[in-house]
Amino acid sequence: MSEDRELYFVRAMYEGLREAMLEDETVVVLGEDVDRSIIGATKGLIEEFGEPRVRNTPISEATFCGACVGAAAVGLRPVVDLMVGSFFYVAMDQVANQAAKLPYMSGGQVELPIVYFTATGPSGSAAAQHSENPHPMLMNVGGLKVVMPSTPADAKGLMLSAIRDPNPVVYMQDAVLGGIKGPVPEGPHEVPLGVAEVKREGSDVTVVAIGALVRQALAVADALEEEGISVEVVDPRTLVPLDEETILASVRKTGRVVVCDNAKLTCSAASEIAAMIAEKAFDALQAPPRRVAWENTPVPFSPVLEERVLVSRDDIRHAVLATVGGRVPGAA
Amino acid sequence: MALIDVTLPKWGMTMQEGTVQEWLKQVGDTVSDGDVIAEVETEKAVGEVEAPADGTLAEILVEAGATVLVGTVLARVEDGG
Repeated sequence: MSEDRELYFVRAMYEGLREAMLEDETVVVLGEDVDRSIIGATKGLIEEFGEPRVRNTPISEATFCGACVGAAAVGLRPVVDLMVGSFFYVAMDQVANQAAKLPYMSGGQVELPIVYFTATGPSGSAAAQHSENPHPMLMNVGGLKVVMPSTPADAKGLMLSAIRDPNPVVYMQDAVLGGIKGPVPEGPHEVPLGVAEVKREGSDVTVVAIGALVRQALAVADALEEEGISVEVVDPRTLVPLDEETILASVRKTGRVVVCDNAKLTCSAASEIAAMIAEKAFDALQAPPRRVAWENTPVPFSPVLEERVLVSRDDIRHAVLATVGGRVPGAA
Repeated sequence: MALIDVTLPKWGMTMQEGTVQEWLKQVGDTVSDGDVIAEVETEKAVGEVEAPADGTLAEILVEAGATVLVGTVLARVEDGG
């Protein structure tokens, strides 16, 4: 890269999609209003690739998520825009029972290279039925890979990798990240699935953060640095398959860990990661792993209540301080 | 006569903020209800901010180039009523 090229996150997703469509004519895009793009990731594709390859669908998640299964089974690589993470619940049979299970149940006779992508999670008073983050549930389905980028560069790289992957992949774009900007490499930039990234090095405590919370964790880390606490921030990037090695290496280095998930607490990705750490790195831990996640309630419409339910920077900060035990490492 | 806030609308469900590109009217200009007075860029498109009433553009609070959250008061119009 000769110079830093800053793109919006959703336009980085578009670039990843476009690279995949350029290199492989079997890649097709479906979804509601993908021609004009409600969220922004498919805007421009129909003009370049034409209507058979970019197809608007009726408002029926079961129909278009299920259509991907058939399309993939006969040789296409469908990429679907669900638009809202909550809508996975509507598509669940087609995604969880069909897409996720048929390759296994057919003994590998059918390969289903599908990407289900969506804006997901809260976006500011979108209310309970448009604010869910279902990645924990989808991690548990078995047969689905799950990715959740936190930067525009990762957004492009994971989109391209997800489409190239022969398995069904769920691609979660935290809704609030769509408008963030960041440097994005030109061309077919790929970020491998199953590889985490240390977004910030530190030595006193590891914060594993997911999706939109990576930026919040980095901000908290910067503030704590001023107070003498050195925080390492690890971004899993892929939730299934999880890069356990990178996470465990960080925990063995720092001895303390806080896992922050942009989802409800019960059975969250944070719960899975914390349990995995406790099982595999207990000897290295100086304190129990802590989870930071939403209250186990529907996400409120009221802005005041919504803020109360979701994860704030203060929540992350308090968990980190509690994990270092009130002692401020590095201070006199 | 009253001062009416011109706030940055939420143009899409996921929109969080916008970057003011250009003010099409200046402080002191007469505006009509619905006139496009500023262009604001979001991740999806460049949107048009409209005057909420007939009157005069009284204040510009966010300069071109600045990025602000949805709901931020961008300007104020003194209505002619």
